[in-house]
Amino acid sequence: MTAIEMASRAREQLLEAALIALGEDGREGLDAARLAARAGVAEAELTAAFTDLDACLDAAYAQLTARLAGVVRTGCERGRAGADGAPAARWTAGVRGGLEALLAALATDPAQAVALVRSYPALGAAQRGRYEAFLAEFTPLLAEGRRLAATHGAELPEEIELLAVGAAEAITFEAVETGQAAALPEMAPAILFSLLVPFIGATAAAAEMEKAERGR
Amino acid sequence: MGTWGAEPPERRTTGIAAFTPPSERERLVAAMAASCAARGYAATRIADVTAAAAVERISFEQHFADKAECALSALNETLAEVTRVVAGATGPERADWEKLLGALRALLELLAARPSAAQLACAEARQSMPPEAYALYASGIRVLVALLDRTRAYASVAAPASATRGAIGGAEALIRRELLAGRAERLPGLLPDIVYGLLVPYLDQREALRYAELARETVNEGG
Repeated sequence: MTAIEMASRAREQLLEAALIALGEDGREGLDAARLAARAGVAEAELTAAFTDLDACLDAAYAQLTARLAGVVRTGCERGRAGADGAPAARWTAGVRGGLEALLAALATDPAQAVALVRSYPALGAAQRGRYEAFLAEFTPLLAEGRRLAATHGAELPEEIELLAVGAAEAITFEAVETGQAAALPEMAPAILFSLLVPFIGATAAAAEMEKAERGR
Repeated sequence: MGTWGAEPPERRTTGIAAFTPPSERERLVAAMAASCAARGYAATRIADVTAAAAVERISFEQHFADKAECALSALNETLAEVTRVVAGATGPERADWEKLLGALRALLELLAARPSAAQLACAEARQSMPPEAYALYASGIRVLVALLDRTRAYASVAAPASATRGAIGGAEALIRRELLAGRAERLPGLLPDIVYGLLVPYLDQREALRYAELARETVNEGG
């Protein structure tokens, strides 16, 4: 293995260990030497790759949120591809696909879910801002719902995308915070209702929820 | 201008007579909220708080065992004020719609007038403070859920049990965004969208839009 390959591998190991270590030890119980030991690399490799522990945590969180955003986009595309030709049906199927993919990813790794919503954002104002920015990434994926509603004559509130994302986030956050991240896929139909209802109303959202329940 | 708008932000006290200077303890609590809003709870040091409050460290220790106790006091006082304001706006003689509108207006105006305390209650307590703070935040949310769950009586479809929690989460997301961007003064203007978000899980969508429009008229009238 070349020196460049070794440095790259050490970086990956540190990124993989960083948020789990943060969740288990807390920021006060974690330092560069401890994280390096947990990742199986030398402390000097951490310094070389990231400058310091906080930069390593920032990079690990950026990697996690980018991965989850990708999971949602892929889930959306798959959902849309599997739906019939009507634009409204493709949109709701895409939203459902993205949501189910995200909840499955969080349920697969509850420790990472805790890092996403709690242990990293708790570090400070800038870190919490990154969590809010991650949530804001999902609002453009919902924008088509507003356009579809307009074709039916309904002019929806200005902030509807964030209302919807915030609704899904609150239920998901509470599940993670109370140690129920593994159960998130079972909650997907109810969360889908909250995500869709601002755009399509209660009757249509309840129908989509039932469809999702049948599809489980 | 709303109920709280006549006084400058951050200058209100918690029911103390208008010309009574704030006590050391009140200054410390206010400084803790301000520091948490600016730096985050984790990055706030007792030295930051005592410096901002112009209080000696030894005085801090006479009032509070540690940083967490001071921050929890700030949070408790905020939640007590929220409860007082919401209860005052939801008198038993009022119709359900008037109660909802009155409570939301009062809440948004309070949060706009107290941005640091609002950020402590809406953001820091939820994600950054010790578990006791999250428990307080969660109890406040449960009160709001119980209040808003009355809307289920008007529902034509069976919304899931988590629908009200979700609807409140939507409102929280809007509020947090404005607070984190330093735009607390815009919070009362969110009233129509928040009304819509809270009603649409239960009412017909057009009816929810109509109530949002009524809320917009209230905001525009400033009444």
